[in-house]
Amino acid sequence: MSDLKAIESKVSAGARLSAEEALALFRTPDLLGLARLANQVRERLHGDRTYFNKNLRVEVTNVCVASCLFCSFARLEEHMPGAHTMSLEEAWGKLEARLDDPPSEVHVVNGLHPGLPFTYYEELLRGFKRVKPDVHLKCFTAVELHFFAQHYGMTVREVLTRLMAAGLDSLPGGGAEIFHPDVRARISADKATGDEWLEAHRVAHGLGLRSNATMLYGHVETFEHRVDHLLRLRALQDETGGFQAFIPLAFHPDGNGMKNLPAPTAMDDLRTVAVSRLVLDNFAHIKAYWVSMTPKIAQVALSFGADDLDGTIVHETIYKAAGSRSPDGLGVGELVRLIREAGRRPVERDTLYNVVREHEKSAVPEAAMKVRERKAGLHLEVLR
Amino acid sequence: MSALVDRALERAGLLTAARARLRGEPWPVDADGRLAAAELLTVGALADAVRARSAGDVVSFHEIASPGVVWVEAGARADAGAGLALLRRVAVLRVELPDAVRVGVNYTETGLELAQIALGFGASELCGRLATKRGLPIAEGATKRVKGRGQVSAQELQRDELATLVGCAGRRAVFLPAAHSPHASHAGHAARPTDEATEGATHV
Repeated sequence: MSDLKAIESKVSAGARLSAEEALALFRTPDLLGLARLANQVRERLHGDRTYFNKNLRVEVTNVCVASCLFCSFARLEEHMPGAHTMSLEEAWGKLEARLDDPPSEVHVVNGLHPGLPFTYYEELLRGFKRVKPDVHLKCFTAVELHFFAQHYGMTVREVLTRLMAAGLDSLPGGGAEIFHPDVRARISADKATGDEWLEAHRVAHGLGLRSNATMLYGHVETFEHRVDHLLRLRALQDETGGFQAFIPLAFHPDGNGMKNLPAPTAMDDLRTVAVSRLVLDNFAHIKAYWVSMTPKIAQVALSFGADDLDGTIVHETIYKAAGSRSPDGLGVGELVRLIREAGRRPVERDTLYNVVREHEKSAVPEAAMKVRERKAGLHLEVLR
Repeated sequence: MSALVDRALERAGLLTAARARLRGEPWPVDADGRLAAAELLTVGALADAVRARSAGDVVSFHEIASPGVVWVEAGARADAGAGLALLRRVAVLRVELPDAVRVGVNYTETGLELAQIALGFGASELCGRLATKRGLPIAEGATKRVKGRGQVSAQELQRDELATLVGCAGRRAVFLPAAHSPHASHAGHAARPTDEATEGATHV
């Protein structure tokens, strides 16, 4: 526990943590002490406010020329069992089907399909905007952008410029995995490198787009690799200020090339959230992505530095393919309840963190009330 | 406990009671309200210190929900939202109950993830079914081929996984046989928790 004391004073003073201190945080046995430090930063930034949004996740194709060891979603070719590519009408229909309670954001992530024309993606975006002109389109990871640039003979800037003209509003944070080349060469050697991922976001930020960042942890990487990843993100954020949120993504082993590895445990999930909050001092938001860590652990993560639960999602297939036991989607009511029961104030946001609706906070966390109710019974009296 | 926790306990008006509790004195009833209202991480840190004092680093696996342990239930709405409620209940009970009474959770009911986290909030006992990832019970004679080890008991493999999970929480797993004799390791065969078998156990 004593190794946290020196770090505590730096955190209280708002000072930046070093790589060595970040490593010490990953290694500390004092998980709740770590949580307290992360929670201190989270509350300094956001108080009790905890964010979520109404979003729709669409994965238009899982055909992908990359062969990432951790992926259970992709199929190498169109004709393989389980391969799917949506027609444009099918993709737009996902949004049309939700217009009675419309999402504020459509989040599109795909495989690297070698057989589609670039105009497919431009038309995809235009069609979503025709269905709902004010919908925010958060589409295509930096890995996809890099692939588009190579495959269609453009620069990343040209790719982004054309996609923005078609309606692109921001970028998701996927595809970051672990930046360090020693790890990347082992788990995803045939797609954008860490430097190329960062460069795509640098270009996007330069064009005025905001984006998120992720880290896929819990497979073959070490704590040193995680710290290296976080520090590279922190450095780019110092340079551009274009990242909105950091999302730690837990590795899930089912049905992929690393199925012999165990999934990271819940304690690792919470530790990674907490360390991320403390190291990424220039990121406004840390997300507990409930699809990756289950709603229950995501709720606990709200006490470990996270201030955002992502959104309603509706239908996610990437983590599902890798064995996630989280539900397909959560309703707004469920997200509000998760946040309220954590003693926090639910805030529905749009993609750019503008407030859509601020919900009331429960006067007393329901969890605490339940204990009191139980205590009114005889169970404990018998035992005491 | 760390200075951070001490300060938080002081702010919650619990420092004196907490120090006495960690000396082995009973938790004062008049501090119950303050404990219930205290911040979760504060209650959890105190509960973890009480657990370390009373149970050390051992996590006991029970094949049934044994009497002598208070088994904290996840509540009716276990699918989502019950995580923090469970952790708070575990922590509050660990602080309030005498050292001799252990606090546990059923990982079949809560899920392994939450059960592991509960170990950091005062739980020292776990029970549950030996089951596949999809929740199907593992037959006693079932085996699985493991590279370098040949055919291995599927139940034994599951116990190894559970022990690893506990190890990742910085603790040591001990598997108790149905007769609850202490200090047995990986012993006996799995009995299902049934109403009859759990009769007399305390669930809260």
